[in-house]
Amino acid sequence: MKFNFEKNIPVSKQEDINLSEQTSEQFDADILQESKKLEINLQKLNEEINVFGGKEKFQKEFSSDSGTSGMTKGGEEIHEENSLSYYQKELAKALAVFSGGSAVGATSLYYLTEAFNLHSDPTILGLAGSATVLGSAIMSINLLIKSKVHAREAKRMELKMKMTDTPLNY
Amino acid sequence: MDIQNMTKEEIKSITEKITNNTSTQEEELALLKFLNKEVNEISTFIREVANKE
Repeated sequence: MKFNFEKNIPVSKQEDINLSEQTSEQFDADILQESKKLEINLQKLNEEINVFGGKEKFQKEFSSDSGTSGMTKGGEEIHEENSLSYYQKELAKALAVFSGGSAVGATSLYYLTEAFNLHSDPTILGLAGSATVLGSAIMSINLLIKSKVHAREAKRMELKMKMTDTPLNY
Repeated sequence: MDIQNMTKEEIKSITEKITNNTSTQEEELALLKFLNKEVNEISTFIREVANKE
């Protein structure tokens, strides 16, 4: 077995650590890229809503009875409220009231998880105006994931500094 | 992890894991991809409705 005498770590083990770090870094790079994409897509969605005639018109349209049937998505008629399309429309309503501003606390993620159950209980969003919170929840989860990435980056940096025997205070 | 075939239960589970700080990087990436897909589909849907008017 070869040793890196400077660090007293077997070479093969060190390669494993490096590979693991690279994989973790690559994952985080992909996560940040996807996170940025989500911010852009949410911005685009807001623009689509503005083109459509603004939030008020959009909410009115999508909150009306006619908004739950007869619309088309990908050329297909939507007849059932209890469908993914209905869920997406509810999500769209939530996003319509989302202004892209500050995110609410992580507890609002509860509403996001509730939205994922909408197809089996489409009445949930009709209650308690959770739609408003839902839009923020998407941004909230995005921010939460980004903070995890930054925490991992900081940890990796700390580990690298330890491995190069560089005092952290310098 | 295939986001096209993720069930609602899986999405919910990942969201909860992220909240509880027990998620893996793969799960975080998958959820972001899923949300991007959803938001894109909604945008397309709105555009289609707007174009019809």
